[in-house]
Amino acid sequence: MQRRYLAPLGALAVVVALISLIAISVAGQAPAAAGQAPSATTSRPALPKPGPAPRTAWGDPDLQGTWFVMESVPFERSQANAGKAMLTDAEVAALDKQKSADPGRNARSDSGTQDVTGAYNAVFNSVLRTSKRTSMITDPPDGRIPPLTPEAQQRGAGGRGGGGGRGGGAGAAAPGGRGRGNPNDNPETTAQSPRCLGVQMPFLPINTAFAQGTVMQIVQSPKSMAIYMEDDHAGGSNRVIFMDGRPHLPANVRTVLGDSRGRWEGNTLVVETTNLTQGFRGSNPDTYRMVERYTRVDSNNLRREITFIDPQTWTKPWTVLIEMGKTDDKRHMIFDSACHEGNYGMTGILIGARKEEGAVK
Amino acid sequence: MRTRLSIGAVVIALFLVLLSQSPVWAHHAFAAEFDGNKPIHFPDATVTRVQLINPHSWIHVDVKGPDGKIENWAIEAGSPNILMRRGITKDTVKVGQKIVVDGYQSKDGSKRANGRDLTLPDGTKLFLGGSGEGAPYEVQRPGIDTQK
Repeated sequence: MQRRYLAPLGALAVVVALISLIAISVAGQAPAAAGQAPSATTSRPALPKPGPAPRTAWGDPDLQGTWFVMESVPFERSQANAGKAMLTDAEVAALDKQKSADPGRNARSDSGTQDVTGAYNAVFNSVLRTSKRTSMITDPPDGRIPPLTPEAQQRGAGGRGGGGGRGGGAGAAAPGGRGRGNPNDNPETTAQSPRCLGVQMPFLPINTAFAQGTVMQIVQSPKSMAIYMEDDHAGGSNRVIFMDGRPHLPANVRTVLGDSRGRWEGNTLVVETTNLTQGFRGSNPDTYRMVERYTRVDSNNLRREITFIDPQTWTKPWTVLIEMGKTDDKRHMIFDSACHEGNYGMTGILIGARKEEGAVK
Repeated sequence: MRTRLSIGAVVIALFLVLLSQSPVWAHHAFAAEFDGNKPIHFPDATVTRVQLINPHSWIHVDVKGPDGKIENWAIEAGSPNILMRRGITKDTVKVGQKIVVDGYQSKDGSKRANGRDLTLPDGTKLFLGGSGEGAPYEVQRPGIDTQK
């Protein structure tokens, strides 16, 4: 995208956003009561009017609230979009039209095995609108992960290895160990999601088919912050970010969500996370760290930029931008995960595996 | 040339979207839990309990068994997060309501099944449309999450 196109595009986006907002405000005023029969209306809820980014009572930028990923953006730019940072309005409209007509999980299969894998119908999925952006990666400008270092190539890094999983985690691969059998045979080898093990860092909106991909709730205090991350049914995860200047944990202490320290740079919250148990996209956990920059653009919009740094894996750091939006916190609450409590599926999976074992003995 | 490239990009993107929506794709070991060779069809199920819980919702129903006796089945459905944001609660489906269940029985032969397709007696998909307040960030899909 040439720079001279950006200003008109930006202006157009603002106009479209304003028109949408007006339309939404007019259309979506009356929440329906619980329990009423399905309605034919397709009106949408009113969004709060955008205003200046607020500040907390103690004077820090106020990032609090529940934030949603509003649009679908590919992680890396496709070869087909090489050199093209933005889709046109017509391309976005064509993609959204296709999405709206896609039967998704409503499509049944004649094969029972395949059909049961499809699980349940499409009402339980969501489909985000298409973004104009052709990659989450903003740096390098080609929208692609930088080349691996020779050392990383030698150790075979760079496969999907992570980030393609639910919530764009570091990879939900359960410890394999046995080297044979079905991963669903035992609880230790079943994937993370059915085990309700929560989300993993860096929590990117890779899979947006469930619960709008990634939902974050931010709570602040002067000396620490908490970010709750929701990803469909996998369970939630709560990050704590210390803002009081304390040093990172010793290098030998590792956690799934890592050890985060935050500071303010102007209106931007800068969070450095180290001590992760797992790398990301083949990185080496010993040398890998991520630096996030959260900026509340206005009352309704939050920018989350993440720079991934690992000199042993990538030839240079690289950065993604995730744009998040706000809706009415009272209506679009975080659903209490409580995943383990109702995880009857896990017992069903294991009982199924025992039955299969019994059948072959 | 530029136009061709753009069309090509759209075609590829459409293909990827279709691929991502394929029913083959799943995040959960459904084939491990339920038996694709044991389809069930309950045309006249009566709801006895609704659990909109993670990781999966369960709708309990009474159905008439082959011997005429009433059996209570637990039907697994999707997670409730999206439903909740569409204004659907556990009270949206009432105890006593009739639904039609198509699915597959659990591998252990117990009275549990996945609700591959849950419909109302008039053929409307269960939860379709909900309160009609689709989230502002979603593509509205007629017949999937809205009625029109």
